[in-house]
Amino acid sequence: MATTALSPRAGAYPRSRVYEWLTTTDHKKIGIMYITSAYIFFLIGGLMALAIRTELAAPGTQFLDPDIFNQAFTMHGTTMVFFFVMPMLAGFANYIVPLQIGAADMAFPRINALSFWIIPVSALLLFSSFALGGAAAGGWTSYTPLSEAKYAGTGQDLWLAGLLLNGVSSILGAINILATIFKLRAPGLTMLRLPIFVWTVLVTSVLLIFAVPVLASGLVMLFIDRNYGGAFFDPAAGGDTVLWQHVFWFFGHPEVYILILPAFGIISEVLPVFSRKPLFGYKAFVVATVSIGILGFGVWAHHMFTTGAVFLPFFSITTFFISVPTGVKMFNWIATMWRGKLRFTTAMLFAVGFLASFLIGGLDGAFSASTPIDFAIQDTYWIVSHLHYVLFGGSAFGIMAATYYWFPKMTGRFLDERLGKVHFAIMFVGAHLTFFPMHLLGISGMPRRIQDYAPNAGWQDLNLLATIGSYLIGIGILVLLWNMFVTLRGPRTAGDDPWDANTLEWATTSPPPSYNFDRLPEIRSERPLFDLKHGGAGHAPALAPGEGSGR
Amino acid sequence: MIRAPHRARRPLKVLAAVAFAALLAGACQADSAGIFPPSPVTEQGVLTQDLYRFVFAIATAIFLFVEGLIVWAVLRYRRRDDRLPVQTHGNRIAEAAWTVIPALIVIVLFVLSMQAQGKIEARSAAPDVVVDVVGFQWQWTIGYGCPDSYDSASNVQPGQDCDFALTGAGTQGPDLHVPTGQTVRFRLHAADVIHAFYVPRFLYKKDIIPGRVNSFEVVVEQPGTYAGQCAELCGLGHAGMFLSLTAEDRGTYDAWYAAQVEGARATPAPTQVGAYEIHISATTAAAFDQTEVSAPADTPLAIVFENKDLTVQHNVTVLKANPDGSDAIGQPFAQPGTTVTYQVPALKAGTYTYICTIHPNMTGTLTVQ
Repeated sequence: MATTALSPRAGAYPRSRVYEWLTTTDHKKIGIMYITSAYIFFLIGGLMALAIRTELAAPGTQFLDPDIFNQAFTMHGTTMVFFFVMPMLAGFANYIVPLQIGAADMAFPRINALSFWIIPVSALLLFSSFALGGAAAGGWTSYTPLSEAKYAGTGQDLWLAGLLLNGVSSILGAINILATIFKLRAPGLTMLRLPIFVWTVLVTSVLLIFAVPVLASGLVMLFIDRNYGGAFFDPAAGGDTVLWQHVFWFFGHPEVYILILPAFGIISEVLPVFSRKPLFGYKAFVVATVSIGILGFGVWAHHMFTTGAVFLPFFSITTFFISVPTGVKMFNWIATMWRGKLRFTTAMLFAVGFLASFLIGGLDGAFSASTPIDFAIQDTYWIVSHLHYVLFGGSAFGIMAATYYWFPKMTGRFLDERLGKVHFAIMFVGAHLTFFPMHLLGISGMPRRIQDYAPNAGWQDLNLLATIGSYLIGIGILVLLWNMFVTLRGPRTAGDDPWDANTLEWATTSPPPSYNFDRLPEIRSERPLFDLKHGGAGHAPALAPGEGSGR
Repeated sequence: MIRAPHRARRPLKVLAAVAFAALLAGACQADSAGIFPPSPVTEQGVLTQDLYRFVFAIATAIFLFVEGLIVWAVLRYRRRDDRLPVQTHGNRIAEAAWTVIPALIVIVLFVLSMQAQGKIEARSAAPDVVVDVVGFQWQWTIGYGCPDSYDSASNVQPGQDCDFALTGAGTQGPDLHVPTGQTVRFRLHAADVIHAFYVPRFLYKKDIIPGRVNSFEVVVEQPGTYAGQCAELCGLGHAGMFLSLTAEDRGTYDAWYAAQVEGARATPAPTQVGAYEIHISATTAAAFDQTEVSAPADTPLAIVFENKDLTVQHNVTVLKANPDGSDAIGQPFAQPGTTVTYQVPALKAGTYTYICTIHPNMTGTLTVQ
């Protein structure tokens, strides 16, 4: 050990692979760790969802006591939002953004490692509550006073601490992403040539930086209320309990866009590649993304229409109007497919499944934006349906598309397409079977977050249907896991650019070397790799006979 | 079957399966849960229902149009050769159209919503009936004939201040009565956490928030009895926080009101002579102080219940203790810091379970021998 002689034969330090992963600052390894841990949390959150659905399959208490039931849906929501979708999208952003902008790594590699490693620590804080007298049970929104010291135990403190720490990770990650996008773009990659995925991640990062500190302040205020005699949310001592809802949703609604915008970005990568056309209306898409980001901060009180404490017309019209840029995106995506040459890979199927499902979640928005209708559907299963159409039909389908699309880049191996299609079919049917009946349950009057319902309420069949659907989703996920397991044992057969794609991540090897690129193609549009393969931007490609000269 | 290239049929089949499942779900449930809210029983609910149908029609049209485009694109533009398609980057006219047209649609929806909202949220100068609703974990107290100070007082005691107060029993909840065809104002007070007053047939709900008094008005048009329940998560017993609302003509309502006032004035029946006294108390909502008590068989019982919990109401209900097998529900609930005596009929030997109706997690065993 005393020798310090340098010799070429000594090579790198003899590190174990575990040590290598634990200490890495490579954005690709960190990205993969983000994605892997997010999938683990997806399984945990999913098992809780199945437990909830099992209890609700029939009237009466069969599986979960009210106490455990309330913990289960609270932790299901918290896990899925803060430990599945957010880290998952952060993981894809981590892996893909530096590659798509032709950078060698993130701007701050060690902060990058820090923001990842905070996540397991914060999860440990949050989940330790199960062993320390019970987890938080006030819903993922943790409304006061139910989450105050008088009504909630230690689990609530651990929830606050866990989310506070998780928020630090999000803020660090967002700053890192912004610095990377602004400072490390390859020569020629102007802002209006950025891949749309990078644009959505950029806007998401800005949202995180504005929204998460607001949540953090709310979490700290509640912690003070609970532990140090504060009264921010206690009306008896001059506080205001509705203040929590304002603070929470001022974070919480932009959070919805934080969860969905990168999925929009993923879809906007997958659809053009498998339609062999550029994204239709690139600039309109950028404008729509930015306006969703801005409008997203002006709609928070539509979660509070029934409190009688907010100015209804303002939040109604902003909520109606945020559907316009979202609609623009939907039509741009369809126009991208229009007159294309569609290849139905699994990634493409999930992208099309995303369009078909997210549309329902989006149309739902018109109902909840209308205040009188909201008075009827607020806090019922209708809302549960709506949010799952957005976050499952939207975010989760986007994540599945990203998984199939970028798996060859990350591992050099194709996920099996046959298993992939089985996975898609089961999950698509399962998702609609689970979440569509909830619309009907909600408008007929079934409140959300109830552990039981009366046998004569008429809700039994639809609940059973939803439970069956949720099991199907579970089976679909098992197919995906099996697919990953089998694929990772197989040989590396994917080349650099297996999908005939457009963006820079496909201009290097699969998986890329630690420094990412040997050389970069010239960048003259948002599709540098396409230009390289098919002639430059502005270069009219040869028209196929019979296609006409239409735009 | 639609003629499509055979490989394109998979997504088609999937879509068809989903559409079928959704239809099936809707059709099977025509009586109880459908795609429209249950038929409204209030003047205000009718406005909501009309608005819902309008928004639903527009949303359905957009849904069919957009899903149609997606399905068409999937079927029609499947790759059949390797030639590169025309590289369309955009189309200003089309993009302007799908920005402006949705914007116009949402403006129309907004205006209609605001018109309906104005009527639904209107307050009359002098409502015919005012009902005060107090939500607490996990039951309701309903006050009739409460003082005007209840307009802004958040900590209220209808049992002391009003003509009479109703409390829930078991999972039935209190039975509110309101006259039909008249303006009824509900004033909502929270005793602990946030609750929400929700009667699905009103197509309306309003949060009950500590520190503020929310209110709303309805004119119930259809006589009948309608179920309601708490719609905002309020803890362990949230799912069991029911109420029922009976709408009847003004004459019947007045008679009911008079009977309730009479009942409130009547002194409770004295303890039966020779009843065996059982003493039970509660200090928290977690459990009774006594979880095992015993009594002689075939003797009437008097449960002297002391509520030492200074925060919430409790009671003692002995399950299946009535001769007809129903629960002997302890009424009225014991207010914080008070003692109430509940009569229980003579029991046969055996073990019985007693609970607090408000906090079903509070249980104990009564052994009769």
